[in-house]
Amino acid sequence: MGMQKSRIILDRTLRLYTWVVIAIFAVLFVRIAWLQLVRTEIYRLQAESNIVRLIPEPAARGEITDKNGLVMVTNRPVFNLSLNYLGLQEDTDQVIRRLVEIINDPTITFDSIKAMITSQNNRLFEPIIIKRDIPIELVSAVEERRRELAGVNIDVQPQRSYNYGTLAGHLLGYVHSIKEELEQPGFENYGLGDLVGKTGLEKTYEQYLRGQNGFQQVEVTAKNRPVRPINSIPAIAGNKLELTIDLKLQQAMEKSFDETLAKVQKEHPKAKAGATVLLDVKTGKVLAMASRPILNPDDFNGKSLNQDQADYYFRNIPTALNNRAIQGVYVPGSTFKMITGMSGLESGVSPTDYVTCTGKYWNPPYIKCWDVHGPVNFYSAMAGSCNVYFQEMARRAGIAQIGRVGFEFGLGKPTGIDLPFESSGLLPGPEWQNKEFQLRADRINKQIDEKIAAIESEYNQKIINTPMEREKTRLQQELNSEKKVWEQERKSQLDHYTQWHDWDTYNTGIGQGYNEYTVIQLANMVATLANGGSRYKPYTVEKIIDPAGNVLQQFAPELVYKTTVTAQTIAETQKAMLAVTAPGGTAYSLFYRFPENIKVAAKTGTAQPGREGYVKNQDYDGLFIAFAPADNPQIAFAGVIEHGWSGSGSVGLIAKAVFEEYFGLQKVEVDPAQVAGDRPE
Amino acid sequence: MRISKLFKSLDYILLIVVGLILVVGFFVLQSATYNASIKYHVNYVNRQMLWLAVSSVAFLCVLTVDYSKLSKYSIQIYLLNLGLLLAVLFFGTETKGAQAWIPIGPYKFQPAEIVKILFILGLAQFLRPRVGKLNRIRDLIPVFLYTGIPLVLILKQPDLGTGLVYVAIMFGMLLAAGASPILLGVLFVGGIGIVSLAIYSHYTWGLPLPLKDYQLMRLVVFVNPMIDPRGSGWNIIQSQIAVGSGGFFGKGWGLGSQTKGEFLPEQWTDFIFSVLAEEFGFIGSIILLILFLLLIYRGIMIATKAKDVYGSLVAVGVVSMFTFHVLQNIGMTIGIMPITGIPLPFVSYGGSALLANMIALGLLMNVYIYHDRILF
Repeated sequence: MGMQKSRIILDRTLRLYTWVVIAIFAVLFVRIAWLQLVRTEIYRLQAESNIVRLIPEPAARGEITDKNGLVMVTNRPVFNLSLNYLGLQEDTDQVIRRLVEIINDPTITFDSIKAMITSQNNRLFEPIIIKRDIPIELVSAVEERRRELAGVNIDVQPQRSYNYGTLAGHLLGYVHSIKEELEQPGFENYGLGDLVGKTGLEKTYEQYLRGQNGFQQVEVTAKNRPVRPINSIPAIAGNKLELTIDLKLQQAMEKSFDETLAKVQKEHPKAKAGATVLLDVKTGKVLAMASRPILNPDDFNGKSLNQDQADYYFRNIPTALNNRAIQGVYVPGSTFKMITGMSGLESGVSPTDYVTCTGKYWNPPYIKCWDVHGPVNFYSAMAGSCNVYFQEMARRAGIAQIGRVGFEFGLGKPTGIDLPFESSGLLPGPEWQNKEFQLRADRINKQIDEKIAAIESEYNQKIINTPMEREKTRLQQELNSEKKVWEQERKSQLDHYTQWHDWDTYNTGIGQGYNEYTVIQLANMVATLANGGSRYKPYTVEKIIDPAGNVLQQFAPELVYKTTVTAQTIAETQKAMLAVTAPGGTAYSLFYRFPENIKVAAKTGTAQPGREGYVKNQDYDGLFIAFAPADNPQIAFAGVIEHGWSGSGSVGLIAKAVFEEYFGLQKVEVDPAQVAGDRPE
Repeated sequence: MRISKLFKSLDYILLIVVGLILVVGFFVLQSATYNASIKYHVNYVNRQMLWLAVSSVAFLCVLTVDYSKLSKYSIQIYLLNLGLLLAVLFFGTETKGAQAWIPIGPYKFQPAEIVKILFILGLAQFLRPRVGKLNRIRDLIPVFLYTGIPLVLILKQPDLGTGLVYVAIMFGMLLAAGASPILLGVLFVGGIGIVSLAIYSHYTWGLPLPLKDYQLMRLVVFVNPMIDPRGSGWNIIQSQIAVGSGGFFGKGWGLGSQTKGEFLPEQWTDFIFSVLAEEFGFIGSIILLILFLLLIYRGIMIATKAKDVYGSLVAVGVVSMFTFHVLQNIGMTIGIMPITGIPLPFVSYGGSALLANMIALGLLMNVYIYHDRILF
């Protein structure tokens, strides 16, 4: 082929070649235009989010003070030693070596710090915390050598601090790392690792206490090294809670609680748990509240529990985690007799009517009294806690009346106190009966129906298999009589289990049986009785105050219910309770030294709960309720000591100590063994 | 030829276009190497300038000899090509998983760049007698064999990028030499189909492939970078963010956050176009694209006007190499080509590449200068 022909071919192919090149460039052009002209905004956003990181700056939680402004919970600045990557450019290793030398802690070595840096590799814009909560000596040692330690920082972070240790620990509650809350509404703007109130006031008032975390916006590189700060939003501290609690009363209550437990334990070593509440009767303010075993909020406080602590709070019996004042439910024993008494009076019984106690009630099942009281009226029966009298009162009033009065005084339903996890207790009135008996009837019917069905199918099988006509008839008769037996059984079970019996009423009347209440309910019952029938919602927070000092919210007493029980009935019941502390009363030895103008009205209680770990006729809870002064009530008390054996000999001592503190009386030591009580013998 | 005459006969349009590309390149390089210069205490721009000076000398040297004389040595050139590739295999040092560098004293030399030119020179002579006789697949087989031998050596390094350049040069020169465009098209589409099928089989039925995992991943993430956004997909994603976020006017010289924050990988070599696109925007990208188009168009003109078929084919080879580099490099930064480490001619940092490109430019210019004997 000649040169000329090749030339012609080349001219043609090169034209085609040019078009191929143009096509390639057109593709590039279109794609670049698509990215840079059409999709710019999307990519711009992505570029932006690439470089901007937020470093949270935790807000200090709000303080908690008592009613007089004494700070109970505050925040302690915790010094954290950290490395800031921004400052660590040149001689990193040298700085780390110096730092290790200064810290002088065998667990922190050059290699361990290097490992920390590596492990935080994709978050290097955040300070690398080398050691938390360092002592002040180390702080000053680092500050002295600041110049040689470029990039080493001491950050101050707020941490919950409890000025009175375990005092009111259950009431205050604790904070811990957020977990399941993250999926709940209201926690949308929380981050992993944030602390959140888990129990007590910290939980109820979380949204007020929390404050607002601040942020520092930092520009970072692909390796998350900080380049420069962009913007910072300072943290806003949380709001302060001013409680209704009186610190001095709280201290008196808790001190006495521990002393009393120690004393009671000498004879009753199982007495380790209990709860007490002191209310202001005119408002429903909680003046003091305690629960044992003790809870130390600082054990939690964002830290992890060790094995012993975990056992103590969650596994051992009694567990320490719950606030027994609002979460524990207790058989009220004789402290329920006010309700029974009032029901009797409301049903027309005169307080001066006599009933004769012969040591046991005359109606079956002949429930015993703990003494032989002889003829007693309302006052003497209350003073001596006579079981016969109150069984008779229960009989005369009837369970419906008892249920009504009990509900009016707030028993068997949550009081609505501003604390989480409140229990509702159980008042076996008609409402509860209907529900409970229906459930039981369904269960019994189901069981018997199944039984009968089984027998029927068994006999039908036999009848089919039998060729003889006479045998068939015999089997049919046998089946019918079997069925009759089971129908009989059904009837007797329904009679027994799904009906309210007279003895249920007697048991309820003396605070046994199905009765179960929380301490806060009992306290509120006493307060309602003391103030003449106004039931308030108990509350623990007086004010919420913002960081600038403005009152955000002021809580006022909230009247929940005004009882329909007559003023006379209430007055007679108060009078009867006063008899309890008079000579011959079960609480006489506790309060006989109190001056004339500060008489205490009270009621002791000893209950046999069917709870786990209790031996029948051996283990008793001691309960105590009281208000004072009897003629002008100001405060109401209720409390329980599990395994306390008697009311006045255990938790009564705490009532006494708190009243002494409240009225500024001289404190007198009393030995529980010397306190006359409504002992269950 | 006398130097004064030589200068008179240069194609100044071509020179100006390349000059402008170089100027743009240095501006971008300044920004792209800013962080690295501080970190490693090296002034990469100065280094590249030094390389440019050396390369310019090489460029001028290439001009002194009439290219057509080289056609006589095509066998020697081919053997030199193979020799260099073998040397790389035996003496090469490994960088980023490939044995591509030969250490010469304190310097490292990357033969991959220069062998492309040797290949062009050899193949041009090989194709010269075959022009117009390449219509059947049987006619193409010798060409495939001729290309295949060095290609195997390259893939053995393994240097997939250079291998692809070989294939692209071969296709370009075959097209120019009159091979049936339909046949080439079928081969091209078929090749892509076989590769896709092979990768699919590899992941579905475990078909063994002579590729390293990272190379396979590059092809997989090309289809969907979100499979591994922080690993293999990172480059594709971040590069497109850089390009896209540049917008119409760009973020300004030295102000690209993707570049400065080092989100953009290999920013002064493989992904230098993304730096340009981020900081100078659509305008900058298109200007560079037009400059490359001018360079290539000028190259095709030179091929058209060459005094002989050999010259035309050499020019087409050089043009094909440039075109493929531009397509592959820019294409991968904007997500239309899989990632291979092919630099952007005259813009990416790298001495060997610049030297090779200037020599290639010299060849092109040589074909231009000697296209009309009457001048001399």
